[in-house]
Amino acid sequence: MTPDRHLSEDRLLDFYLQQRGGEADPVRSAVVRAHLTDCERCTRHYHELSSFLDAVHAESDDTVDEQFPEARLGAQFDRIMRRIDHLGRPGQVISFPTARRARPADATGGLGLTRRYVAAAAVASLLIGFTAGRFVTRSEFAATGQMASVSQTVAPAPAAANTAPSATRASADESFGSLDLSEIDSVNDTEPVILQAYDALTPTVREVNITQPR
Amino acid sequence: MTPKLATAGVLAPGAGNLAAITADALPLPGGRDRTEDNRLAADLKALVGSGALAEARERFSGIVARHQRRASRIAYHYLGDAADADEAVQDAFIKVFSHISSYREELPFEVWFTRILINGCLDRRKATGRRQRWLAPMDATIESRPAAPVGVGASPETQLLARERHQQLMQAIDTLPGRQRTVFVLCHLNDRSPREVSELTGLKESTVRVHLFRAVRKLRRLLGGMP
Repeated sequence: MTPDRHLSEDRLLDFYLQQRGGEADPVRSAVVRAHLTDCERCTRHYHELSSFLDAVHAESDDTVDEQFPEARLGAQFDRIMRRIDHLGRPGQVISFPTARRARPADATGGLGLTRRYVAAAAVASLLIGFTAGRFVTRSEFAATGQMASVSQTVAPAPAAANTAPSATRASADESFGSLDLSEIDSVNDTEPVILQAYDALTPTVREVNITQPR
Repeated sequence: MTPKLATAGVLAPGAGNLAAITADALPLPGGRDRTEDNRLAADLKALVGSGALAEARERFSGIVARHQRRASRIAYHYLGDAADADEAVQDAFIKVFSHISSYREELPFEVWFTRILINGCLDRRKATGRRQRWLAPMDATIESRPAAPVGVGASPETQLLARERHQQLMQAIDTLPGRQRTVFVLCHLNDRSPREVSELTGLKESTVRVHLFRAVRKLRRLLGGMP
């Protein structure tokens, strides 16, 4: 290799690693070494490279040695061995502070069973009450519902009958079917009722003040 | 995001070229012996299998002591926070102990362990990223990470400079793409050869070298040559 052809940085790094690692290929090392003795430029590059790498290595060593002194490594060793001792053992369950009082196992089981019974009884009571409620309401309606509707729709005064809500009109029509025709005629013979608005029937404040003595 | 490393036996059975690796193929840096690691791991597996947990615990403590510092170093470079790295190392060791029955003796224990550790670190990085999405960004003047401790007797100026250098380095490493970061951390900062990193990551050795070159080039551009 002539000084005209310089060594690449990769080759120099390879040489550096071979020198440090002790795995030098004798032939290649001899060629590079011979070139370095002749070529000043490559020698300078090699020194720059090796000084940089040595500085990085030294800096790294110092840092790691300071971060991991013997005391820290000893503590780490202890922790590893302690963890090894606890391998395969379940972790201890720490009770919650409010439940600090220890209860016997059967008492805890009994309490759980009682709670379950109470919940089941509450649900059963709700179901029974709902079913019974529906049954009672239906039977009462079947017994008294029809008569009540007739008495409510026929009995009111004529004026009130005209202002009855439309909801009761259907049941009133049905009840008319069971009345005598004479009663219908008598209703028709009476004077026709003039419909009035609710507002007209409602006394105003002024009227109240006039009628009431001061 | 970096794809998870295939972990023989535990996280992804049947890892690529891992079958071709023999347990004692390479020496470990720092003069450690791979055979000793594998022997300890094989003993641990046998003891756990036979239910001799007290002896298994003792054997496992030896494994922890051998790999703890290196694991902390790797985890710290991945996570950039000492507390996170501490937890990641603990979790990795716990995982090793609880999954030791799936360890295959013909493979290097260190490769198996390192893959578990790195996958744990990647999971943590992902989780942290998800959390950060929901957090309001802090004021730029407030340091997001606790400052690295510096020497006790150092002057305030030295402390400040050291802290700045540390932050710059960690931020620069953090900006590397996933594979480049993995390769750089393992190869340069943890003194692994490209061949060993190839074992650990399941990448080809040439690919490891390419990622390393790119990582170094990018770091030089970002850091501009450290003093």
